[in-house]
Amino acid sequence: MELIPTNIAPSYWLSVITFLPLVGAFVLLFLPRSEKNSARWVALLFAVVTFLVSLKLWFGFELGTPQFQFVEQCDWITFGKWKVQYFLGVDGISLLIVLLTTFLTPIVVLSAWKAVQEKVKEYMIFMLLLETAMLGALVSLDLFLFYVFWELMLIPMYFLIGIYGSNPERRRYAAIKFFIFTMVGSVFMLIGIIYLGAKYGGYTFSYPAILDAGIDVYPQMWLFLAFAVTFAIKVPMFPFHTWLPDAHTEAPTGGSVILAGILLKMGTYGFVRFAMPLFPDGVRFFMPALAVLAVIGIIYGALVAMVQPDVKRLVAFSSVSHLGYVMLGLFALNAMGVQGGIFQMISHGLSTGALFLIVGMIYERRHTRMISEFGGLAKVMPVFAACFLIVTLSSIGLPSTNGFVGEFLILIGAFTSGTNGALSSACGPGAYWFAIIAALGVIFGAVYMLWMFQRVMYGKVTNPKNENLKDLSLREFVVLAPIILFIFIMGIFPTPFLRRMEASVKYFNNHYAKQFTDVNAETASTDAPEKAKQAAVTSEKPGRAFARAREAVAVKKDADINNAPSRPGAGPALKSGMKKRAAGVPRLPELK
Amino acid sequence: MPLELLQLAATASQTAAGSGLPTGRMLIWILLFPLIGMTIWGILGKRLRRETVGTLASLAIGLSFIFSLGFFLAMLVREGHGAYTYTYYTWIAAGKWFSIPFGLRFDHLSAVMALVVTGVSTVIHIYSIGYMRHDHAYWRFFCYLNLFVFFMLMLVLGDNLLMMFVGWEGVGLCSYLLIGFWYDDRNHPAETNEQGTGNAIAGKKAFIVNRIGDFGFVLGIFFIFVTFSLMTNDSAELQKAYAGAAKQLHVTDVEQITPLKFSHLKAIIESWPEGSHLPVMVLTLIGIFLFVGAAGKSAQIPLYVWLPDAMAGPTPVSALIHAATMVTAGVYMVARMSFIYVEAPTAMMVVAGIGALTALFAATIGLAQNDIKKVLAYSTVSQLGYMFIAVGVGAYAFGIFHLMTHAFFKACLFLGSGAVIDFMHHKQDIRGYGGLRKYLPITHITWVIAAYAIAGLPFLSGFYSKDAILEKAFEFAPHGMHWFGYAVFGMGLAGAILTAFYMTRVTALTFWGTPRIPEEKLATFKKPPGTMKAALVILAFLAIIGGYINIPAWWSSDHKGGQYFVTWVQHWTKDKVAEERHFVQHGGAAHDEKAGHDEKAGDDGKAQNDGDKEAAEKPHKEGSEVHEGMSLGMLAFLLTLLSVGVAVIGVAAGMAKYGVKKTGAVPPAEGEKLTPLHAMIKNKYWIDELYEGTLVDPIHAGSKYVLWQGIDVFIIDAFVDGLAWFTLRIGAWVRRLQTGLIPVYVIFMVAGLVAMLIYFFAYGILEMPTFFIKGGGK
Repeated sequence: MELIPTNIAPSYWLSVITFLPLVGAFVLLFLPRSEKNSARWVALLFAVVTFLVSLKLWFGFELGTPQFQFVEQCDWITFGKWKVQYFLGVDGISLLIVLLTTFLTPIVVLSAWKAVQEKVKEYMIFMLLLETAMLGALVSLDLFLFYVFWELMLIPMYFLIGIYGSNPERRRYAAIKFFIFTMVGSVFMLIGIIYLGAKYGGYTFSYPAILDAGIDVYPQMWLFLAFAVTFAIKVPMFPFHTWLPDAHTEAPTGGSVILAGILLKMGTYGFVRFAMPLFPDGVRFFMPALAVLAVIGIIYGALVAMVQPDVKRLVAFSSVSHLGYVMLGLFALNAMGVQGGIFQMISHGLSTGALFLIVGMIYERRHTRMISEFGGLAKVMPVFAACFLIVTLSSIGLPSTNGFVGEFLILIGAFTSGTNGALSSACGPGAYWFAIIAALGVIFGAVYMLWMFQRVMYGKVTNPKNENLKDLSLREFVVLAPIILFIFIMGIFPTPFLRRMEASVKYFNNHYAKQFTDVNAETASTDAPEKAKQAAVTSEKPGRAFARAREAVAVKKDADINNAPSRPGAGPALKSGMKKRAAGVPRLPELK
Repeated sequence: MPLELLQLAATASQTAAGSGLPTGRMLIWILLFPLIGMTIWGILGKRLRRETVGTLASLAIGLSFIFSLGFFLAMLVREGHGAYTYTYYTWIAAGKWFSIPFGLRFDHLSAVMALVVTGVSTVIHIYSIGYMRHDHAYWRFFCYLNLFVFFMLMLVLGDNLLMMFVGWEGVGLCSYLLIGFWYDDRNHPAETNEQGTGNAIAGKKAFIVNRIGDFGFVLGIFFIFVTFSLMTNDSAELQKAYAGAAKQLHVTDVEQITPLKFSHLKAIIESWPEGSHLPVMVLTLIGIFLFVGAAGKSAQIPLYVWLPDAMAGPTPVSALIHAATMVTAGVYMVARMSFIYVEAPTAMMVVAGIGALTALFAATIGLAQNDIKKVLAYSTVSQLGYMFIAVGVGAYAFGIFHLMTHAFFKACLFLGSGAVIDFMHHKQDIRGYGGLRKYLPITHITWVIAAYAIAGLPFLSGFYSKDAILEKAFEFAPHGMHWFGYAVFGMGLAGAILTAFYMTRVTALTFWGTPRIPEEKLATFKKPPGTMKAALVILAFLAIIGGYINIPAWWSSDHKGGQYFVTWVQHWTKDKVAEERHFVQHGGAAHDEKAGHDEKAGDDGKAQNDGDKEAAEKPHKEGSEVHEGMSLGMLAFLLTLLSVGVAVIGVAAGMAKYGVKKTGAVPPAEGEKLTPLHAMIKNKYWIDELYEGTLVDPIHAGSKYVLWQGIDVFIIDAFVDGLAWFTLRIGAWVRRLQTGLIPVYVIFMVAGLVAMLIYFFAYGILEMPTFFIKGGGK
């Protein structure tokens, strides 16, 4: 339980931040439907206050420790011997995403000021409910609590797409597709969570406890797969991505911003918080496949984005590409890759969020998003053009914007890891090709974004409907300005952001190294001499831990089969191999 | 963060107030003036008067120039001519091994570059006040132009590869914005197709081709990091090299050494332990990857295609970005990374070879272009080829020398063409010019000076730099292969003849002979304003005297009779240790840069030299004999004579074909039948069409029909929808048994789930079957 401080001082910050939007939603319930403006203002007020309160997390966050901070822990549901806790906390990994959430919500509320004219109250309620769900999922340290919030996110989003979608015929299809895809994924995770709680958590679902318990190798495989499918759908990784373009195209502007900005990050966050630390052997086993899918996603998303006739679909596919980078960075399992991955989550949230806002602004004016309908807007809307350009450049990763920092860290992390590190040990010596191919995506990124920008903004104004479009209003400028500000701040001074995640990422990476070294040490000391020799042959480099661990597992498997265990998967040799990891934590009796 | 900036400003002004030499911390001001300017024009420009914007924008760059000059002079008086460096803050850091500072470096190499960039920029800003006088987006133009100078200075002054990359992509962005400046094609009706309008397409093409180059650049950075970082490479040699580098750099801890920082990387390579080989293969790879980046930015084969199209931008932009400064960034980068190239002769061969090919190839295309700016564009590509010959054969200082002289005369030519275009109401076809000497006398004189400078006629700047490059190319012998040097030399020489020829052609067709449009119409055209003329005169003057900077002795400060300019640049590029090892390992490249201005280096080199000659004789006897047969001085003299000869031949041939009296020798109009050779050259060997057909179109069609409509819609979506349909069928079947809709679905799901859970928990077979892991784990 080294991740939890021993003396937990009572803290209510996380609860306040998480449930303040819910209070707002509750207040809104009592407003009469006709009071559209009051509904807007109340929602904005609660969103802004939530953001202001959440700043406490940024300033009060203690650097240099991987421990969870602002921890709250108490029992929530007791059911027989099962115990579900109300257990919250943030660390360097979740902190920035929490802040991104509280930062984007007021912007989204403000962006819907004019766009949503019917069922305003309900729209705002869904938004605030969604914020609570997202924040809850991000700060939960109890797997069951996490699952509750995770599922809670679906409901408001489903209604946002289904009710406020742009095309009445397609929006239901999109909403149901979104719902089914994510629902199917979550089912697997639920099984996994229950199994984990029963077998390793002592009938609780405490994340730190399960992390410390150390999970046996074989269950790790299917558990990882269950979690990975859930999160991969959410990310979305190729080939689970097809719900995304539909959902984005049909969702109202605010829904798209939240979807791209935060909901997708839930997938990558799930990987870095749960799937990867809990199941290192599973990660190692499935890493080649997942890394390949990540790289395919990068290139595929970019190429398909290039040929989209609809701006929103284009941006949706660009998300597939960008989140492929995030996944690749996480799999690099070194400081650059993982920090870059988390940084990229934030910067993608900002730049793609802004892109959807921008698309929404021209949609409000023209009620179309087809690229061919536009052209020459730069002349009619110069301020809009400047904002659009900056966001576009951030999206293609121009140095001095936020996009570059994340992308570069990911690529150099993946390259390093592919040459001599986790990726190369798990996937073979040619793994640096992942980074090289992924870097090709940077070229295609420039192609699709600039081509789109050029067709929409440059050239002569050929369509007479575009001649008298209004430039940005003050409200619209206020919506975009903070994002643009952060695009530059994060590009020029990324260090404060990187430093906040540093300790947690270091712990994350060391966690891996430790797990594998342990397995190896065990092999060397207890197994047959020739096998020990085999494991100890090379004068080892740090990154070789993976390869060794892999050999060790293979060796153990042989031993396992030879020993003909009475129950599959619970062979004595394997158990002894895992014991050291679980030292100090009493192993629970097997379920019969 | 803003706090850091404020602190910075405070200390900078503090030091400025105190007397004496500038401190390194003040370097940021060179960058800040254009940045501040850009911000003001961007926000307020629309409300300010045109003259105010133009004048103040020029002033901002002028201040940058004055600061650069100040630092340069301070370096001159400083003991040991030491470089100015300053690290402001940590820009990007992740983990123990990866930390990139925001640091600036004003050393011998960047001093030259900064002076050229700010100097030429100032002149071109002044010119633009006149040239853009009718444009309603005046403020936007100066905003972009200031931003460009900012990024260019970042590229030049950054002290690590990543800072350089910021500038590198930043100038690409400004190039994109400025090429597409007239994005509605109001001044330059380019062809419009379904993709949009011409100028914006050209801008996009420039950015994307540059990105392809940047891909190579980034890979180069990756390979450098992986090879020279202790994180991934803990070999004994590298650790020794780090220890040596730490001593050389006066740092206490090897962890403070960042291999992506120029000075640190140089120190690591220089401190490579004696007796062990550098990883030459990887260095070669790094050299080639970095050169891919350079080829993109500096328009070399095969990535040159964007530069001719980039002429769609306003002419001052062509002069500043696409001739004098940005496109030379690749040359600067190779010179900056020279310590890697000298260790990797194969990479040098690639650089020199591509440079020579481009020099010749682009010159041939230049022969048959009728757009005055296109001629100059291909001539720029060709001249950049010469610069790459220089840096490829290891004559880095001469490459930078040619970069500087080229900046003067090519900017002068472009601005001259701008004056002509302005005068001719934005007509750019030289077939419609003729006899303009009478109407634009100052433009004519400055043009002729610059044209003969580029042609390489004696006593003008281009002669000194180009001649030196060809001489060095002649002596180049990578891996002892003298024929390679001769081939490069030959191509360079052939390119020089063509350069002299096409420059004469375009000069004659524009300024000489009789006008090809009615004279009474010409007489009504407006003459260019004074600011434009002033800029032309300044640049023409520089085009004359630029070459004399490198003339030895008479103002050399070290009194060793060395070539002053070259010696100055060689503070960075001349790498003694590396050079010696280069000789030992590869032999042959004996005469490369043996100017002998440093006695110790001369002696050492000589000792090595004798051995090398023997080694070189074996693979290539003839080559060595040439060198044995005559003294170096004699050889140099003959080569100089040869290059003067070809320049004169080229000019004479041009005169003979298009000269003063031959008014009939106008190139054929559009639609006229051309000879196959002429057609091939005029259509630029159909390279654009080739790229379009083999790369762009297939990728586009493949993405659309195979990836999107094939995989995405036809396979994945169809599968998902099929699954949904199947589920619905089951639901319909269930509905007949019960009444619910979706709840039924959910109930069944949960029920199944519970059943599964019970089953699994009861029998514990959730453990992965062993054969699965065994099968996949290997």
